[in-house]
Amino acid sequence: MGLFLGLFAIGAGAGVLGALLGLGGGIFLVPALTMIFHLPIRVAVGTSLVGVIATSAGVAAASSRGHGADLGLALRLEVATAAGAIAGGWAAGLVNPRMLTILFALVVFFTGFYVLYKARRQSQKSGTEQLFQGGYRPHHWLAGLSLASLAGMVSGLLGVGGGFIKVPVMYSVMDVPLGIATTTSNFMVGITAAASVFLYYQRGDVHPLVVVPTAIGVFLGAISGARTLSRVKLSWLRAALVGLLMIVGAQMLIQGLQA
Amino acid sequence: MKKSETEQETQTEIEDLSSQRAAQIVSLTGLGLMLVGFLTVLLKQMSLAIPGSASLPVSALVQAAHEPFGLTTMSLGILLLSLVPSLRVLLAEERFIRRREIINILAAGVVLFELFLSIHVGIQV
Repeated sequence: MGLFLGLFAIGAGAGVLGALLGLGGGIFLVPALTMIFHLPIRVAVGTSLVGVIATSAGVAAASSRGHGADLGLALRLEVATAAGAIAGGWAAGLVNPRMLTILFALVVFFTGFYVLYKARRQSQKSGTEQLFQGGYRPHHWLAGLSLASLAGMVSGLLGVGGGFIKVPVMYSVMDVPLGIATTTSNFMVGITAAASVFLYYQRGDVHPLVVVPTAIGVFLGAISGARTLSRVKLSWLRAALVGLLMIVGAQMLIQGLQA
Repeated sequence: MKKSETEQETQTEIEDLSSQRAAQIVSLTGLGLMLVGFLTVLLKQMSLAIPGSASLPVSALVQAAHEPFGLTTMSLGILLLSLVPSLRVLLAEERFIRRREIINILAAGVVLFELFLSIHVGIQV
């Protein structure tokens, strides 16, 4: 019983963080399931994919009026991401994985610094910035779509969801309010996970005794995360996003240098 | 002019709310099935070691009478939850068609095609 409560707790933690930062939560779930519960990587990934869908569903269920995903923006970017993912999957066999991981770490660091730079410039310009701002219009579509396809390529090459790239791209490059960028990214990562979960399911890598407590925890965590999101200070959320980018970047850089 | 804009915004909010509710119902049904199946397995004290048995393949779910109730219910719940993103895209596509937003119709169409293809390929494996 303690084992299932542990899975539920880890799922709930991943759901809260995923909802707050616009990630699926797989970045937390896969290492936890393999390192703490010693599950095979394919089972961990299969569980994580259902978890990502549960995060996306939880955020959708809890989003209040005007705080939901921008579906049009999400679907347009998703087309570019999917194209990038196909290209990345194809190129995976041709590129040196060590160089790729280091390059990826540099991209993540650059994204983090760019978010900080943009925030400073924005505060100098207007002074006030809201987490959920009505009547916004996404800008720089060409740059946004190009970077979304790059995020997809990184996903295809490295097998990560790419939510931590999509949020800064929407927020810093396309001028989408951070709260909307977060919920939109949650919707997008759900689509990405749904595109591969059936393969894992049919191959026998989805195990209900692991998936059920984890997914229920993720769903409830995502609901509370999404409800907290509208009350969180923008500066805290931005700091958490930059912190996450730095951790992921450092992790990737170490991995690349050790390979 | 202002009145028609407000009416349009209200209409959009109503549509958003009904799509959100449909996705909510499917998600909660999936999670409910997963929970019922899980509790059944726990109460029967069947194999409690993880990872345990894999989900039943779709072909086995069709002949569910021969399979244990708990595993069948959990597998159905997982499949139902996994279909939620596709349902949300489908509902968004329907809304874009009604509003004649050509670029969004095309984008949602491409994403839907990709999702249906992945489900089809996944089930065939």
